[in-house]
Amino acid sequence: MALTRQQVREALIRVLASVEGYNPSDIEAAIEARGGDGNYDLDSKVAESVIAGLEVVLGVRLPGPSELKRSQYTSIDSLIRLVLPVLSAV
Amino acid sequence: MADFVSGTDIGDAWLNAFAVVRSRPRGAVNLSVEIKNPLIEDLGIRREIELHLSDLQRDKHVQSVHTVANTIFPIAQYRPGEGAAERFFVNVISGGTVRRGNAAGWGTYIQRLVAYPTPDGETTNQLEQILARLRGDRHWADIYEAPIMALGEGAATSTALLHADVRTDSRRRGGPCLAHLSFTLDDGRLSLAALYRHHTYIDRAYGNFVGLGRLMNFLANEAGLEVGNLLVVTGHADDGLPGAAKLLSAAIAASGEPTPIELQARPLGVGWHDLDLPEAARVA
Repeated sequence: MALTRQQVREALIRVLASVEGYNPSDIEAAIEARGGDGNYDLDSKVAESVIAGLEVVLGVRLPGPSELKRSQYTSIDSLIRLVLPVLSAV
Repeated sequence: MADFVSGTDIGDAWLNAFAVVRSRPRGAVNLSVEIKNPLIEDLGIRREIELHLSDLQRDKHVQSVHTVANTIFPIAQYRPGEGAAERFFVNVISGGTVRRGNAAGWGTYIQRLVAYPTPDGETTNQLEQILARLRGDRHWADIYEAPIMALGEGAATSTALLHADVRTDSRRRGGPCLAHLSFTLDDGRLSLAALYRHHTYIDRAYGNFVGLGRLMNFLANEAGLEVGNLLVVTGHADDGLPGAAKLLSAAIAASGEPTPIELQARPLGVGWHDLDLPEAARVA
């Protein structure tokens, strides 16, 4: 499955917005306020829900937190880096 | 001999209970701990506990107070507002699906509360049921029960067999240590009695008290109630880790910083790294 980084990011923002109970534009505003994708911190439990949501949206099995270091799934940037190679392998 | 101790807040209660645990040669048996205000902690005591855990983390698997509290109530997943409880339930249940392999095990306490295994192989959301009752007819004071242990589970969740069936129970250690939650509604206040089969005081008790306080707040807030008192009853309470005498002295000296516990998610994008265990071990 070939998706660009931007497409993965959009899917991630939509899922995160749903998990947090906000609109995607609110998430984007928060990312900007925090200084970019790498500075937007995700709590590990929130990240678990986001990973679960991405699995449904993208139709792939992603690594679970037990298979990862925490730094690999607790920012917008790191989650995108987690998803892209999985999609390219499908 | 059973013991009863009381404290004004989480820190005070932990300190008083830990002193009792330390006074018994093999730990306390049937220890009851009352926390009059479970929404207040003592940051001085918490800091000493975490410094102590930090000292031990090179040799022992230890977790921060924040991580332990999250096993009962994952605070970052609760944003009060419209649909907050329902969203919390959906997110916790979905998040549990990506805990795989050994990490899945018997689950976490919050998973047992929102996806309790039923005999027919399905799950039931105990918190949702309790919340529906609390939001509805409040005539009843005592119909808000939530077991953590499940009867008749298979070998795949072997640690959860602990005390589930005495004929097959051969395990002595491992989770879950929390066995049952009993909420009581009285005069608009929601109180909680939590039953533990075993409680280790250096590494788990303080975080568990924080998690239970947050759980009480969640239900009370979502049902328009006040938070009452918390009673934690433990069959066997012990230190759990080395250095108890040193920690007790340090905690006594550091006590006296009562502070409200955090009760909801932080602003979007703000993490919780400040609550990780300190990296550098303190010089003894």
